[in-house]
Amino acid sequence: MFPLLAMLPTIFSAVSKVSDLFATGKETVKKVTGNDSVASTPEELQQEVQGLPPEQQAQWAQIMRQKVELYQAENQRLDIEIGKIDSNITGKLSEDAASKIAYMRMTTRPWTVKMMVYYILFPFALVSVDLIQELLKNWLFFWTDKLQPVKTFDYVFGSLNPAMFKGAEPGAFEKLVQAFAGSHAQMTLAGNLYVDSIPWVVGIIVSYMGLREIGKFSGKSSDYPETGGQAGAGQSTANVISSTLTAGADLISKVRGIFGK
Amino acid sequence: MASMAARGRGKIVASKSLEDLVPEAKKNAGKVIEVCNQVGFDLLIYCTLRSPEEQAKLYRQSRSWAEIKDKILALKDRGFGFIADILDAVGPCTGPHVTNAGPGESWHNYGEAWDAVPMVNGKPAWNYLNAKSEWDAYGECVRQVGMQWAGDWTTFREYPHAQLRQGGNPLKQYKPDEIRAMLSKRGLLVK
Repeated sequence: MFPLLAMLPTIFSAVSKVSDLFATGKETVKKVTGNDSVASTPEELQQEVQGLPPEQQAQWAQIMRQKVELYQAENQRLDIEIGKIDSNITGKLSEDAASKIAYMRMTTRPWTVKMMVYYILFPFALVSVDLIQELLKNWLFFWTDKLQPVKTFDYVFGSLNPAMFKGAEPGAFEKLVQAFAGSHAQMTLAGNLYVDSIPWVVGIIVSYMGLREIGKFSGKSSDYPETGGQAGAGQSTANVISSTLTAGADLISKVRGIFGK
Repeated sequence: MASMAARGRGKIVASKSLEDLVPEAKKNAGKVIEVCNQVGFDLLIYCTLRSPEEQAKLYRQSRSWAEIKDKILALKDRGFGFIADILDAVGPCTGPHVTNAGPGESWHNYGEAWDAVPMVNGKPAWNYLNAKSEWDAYGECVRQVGMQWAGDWTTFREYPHAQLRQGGNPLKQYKPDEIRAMLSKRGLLVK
């Protein structure tokens, strides 16, 4: 049990950096204790786990160790197979393999960038939610009290409406419209916030993509601990990856040769 | 299959003997080992048959009685009462969490799967990234003999695992009568 408990700091460190592992950590708490995790931050999760009996902590560590190792292995693999492969390598691959790598490069993004892309697409989801709440309001008009929470959607995402300001100081509505919408008086509060945030979001995505390209361009063989020992420090990135790939291909072609006989 | 038949209730150690595999898997295992040798590395098959009882014990360890009871009820609801009985009969077990599969939910329980690791410089190369060539060659051998290599799975890759049929969970693919017949035929269901 003690070796497992000794791994906890390493696991917590990984959990605090990777949102997927944080979610897995919460699921694992439920698996181990039978109760839902109430943690909303990695620090809370750490406290929650450290508050468990030692046996349950050890179980949690046992499961999470495997998840963290899997995550690391997957990322190392992606680093080799996707992140730092250039035309020297793809040129040596079959068309199928190169297409697969191109597809993976397009679909493999860090969590933040993925979330930002969802954010950009958020208005489209909003239209669906708006439709649903409109349907609810129109179908269940007789159930006024229970529908109040649904109507709050209107206050956030709906157009500003003077009816919302009954009893407020005269001119309050106009001031609010001016404050949030400025000259775009027809725009909603949420719409304005969204439009204002887009340049930042796009900026971050573009910066990430740029840094990624720079990272690929300047990759070193020492970035690949799993091959560094075999390939030697003097080899270039392309050679290290190439030798890794072609070594595998050699054995595979030998296997195919044997079965093809 | 003689040793498979001998593995009745009570045996709890997972087998690594090729004799415990069904004939087709055994033949394929022999071929895969032979080809791996020919291309330059040894292959160690370290797990073949894991009886439903042993799977049940592994499943029960690290789980609460409430979880086990839910599982038993779910199995009974789906007509797998004979599998639920095995899970119930093995009694309380303690140990670390080692599996997500209950009894009957792994192809190891039917002698149709094995786990293997390539040997590099005389040592098992557990880390895929440290022996990618050997692992990929092993995977290719498995494909070539017409079996499924779990290193090809997209959701949860399990590089050592190879199995005869497609699909991860037999209980989701076959009806209770078919599962009962498969286990009985292989002497793995004593009832």
